[in-house]
Amino acid sequence: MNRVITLIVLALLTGCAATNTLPERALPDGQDYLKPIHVMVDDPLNAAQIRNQLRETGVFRSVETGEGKAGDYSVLIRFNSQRDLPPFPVILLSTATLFLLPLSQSIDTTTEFSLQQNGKLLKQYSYRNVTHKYTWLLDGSGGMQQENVNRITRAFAQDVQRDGLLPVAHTQ
Amino acid sequence: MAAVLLLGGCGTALKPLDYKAQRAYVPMSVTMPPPESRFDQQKQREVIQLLRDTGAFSFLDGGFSKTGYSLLVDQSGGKGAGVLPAVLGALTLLTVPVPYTYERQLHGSVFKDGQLLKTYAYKRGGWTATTWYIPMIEPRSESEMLGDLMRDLDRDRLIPYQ
Repeated sequence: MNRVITLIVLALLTGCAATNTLPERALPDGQDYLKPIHVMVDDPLNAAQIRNQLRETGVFRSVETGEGKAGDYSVLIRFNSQRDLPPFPVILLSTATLFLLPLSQSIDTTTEFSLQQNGKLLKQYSYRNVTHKYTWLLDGSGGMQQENVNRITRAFAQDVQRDGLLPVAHTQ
Repeated sequence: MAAVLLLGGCGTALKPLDYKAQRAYVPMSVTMPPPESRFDQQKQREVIQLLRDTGAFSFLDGGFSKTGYSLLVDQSGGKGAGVLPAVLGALTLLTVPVPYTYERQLHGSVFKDGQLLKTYAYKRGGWTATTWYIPMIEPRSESEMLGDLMRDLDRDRLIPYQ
């Protein structure tokens, strides 16, 4: 009996966690900020979220909107995100059972970052992250999209920090 | 005919624009007022997809930019069926035509480096009725106005091409 309860508890605690294909990147504390970047995202509805998540990495001194002036560093982002839901009858069935029937959901995002200065391409970074989760009544899909994009922006921030193409912003 | 009306009569999706761009503008951003509902959110998604499908935008960013070109698209204002025709329509299961007047508006503003260059205003209105067998006219009006905006932007050449 105890074993069954333990298994159920384990399944509830761990079985519903989202899985990601892109590993989590650790960003070390105590590093100097990199120079400000001007970020343009080719997706009007997700642009603000991506810029905010780049700010949250704490790697760049600032993340600005739009094209920069001459000499500024800019990042052009091509973003494509597809959400995959189960067939409609399965969703209806889950709804009919008041969401006790778990639904398999996934978000597949491919992103291309082009780091540029004065219109010259310095380096291109590409990432893909597939986030998958079983959602049900007590554990919905909220935060999935954020987690999906967060892994990508952190991976980009770490790679830019490692490559050293973007100079450190010295405090005045 | 009945099947077409059944399937298409109540469609609220916007129709494709009758405008195709010959050349694409330089990378720019588009911004819309914050959506008030899920319905608004879905509609904004449709509008952006329609604008993209014209081929006029090489790179379409979101938000308002202090540098470069921005286009503000505002579809607020106007009026729809109102409470009485909507309730009567619902009570009769949209079988009895309840006439009402509607009005749709579109404002498009072009900004360069945060400064307003020009605002375009469009308005469509008329009579229609709340039934499932009369195709909804409002989405067509909205698509027409977006097409007009794209044509006027093309004619005025305020935004440079790539």
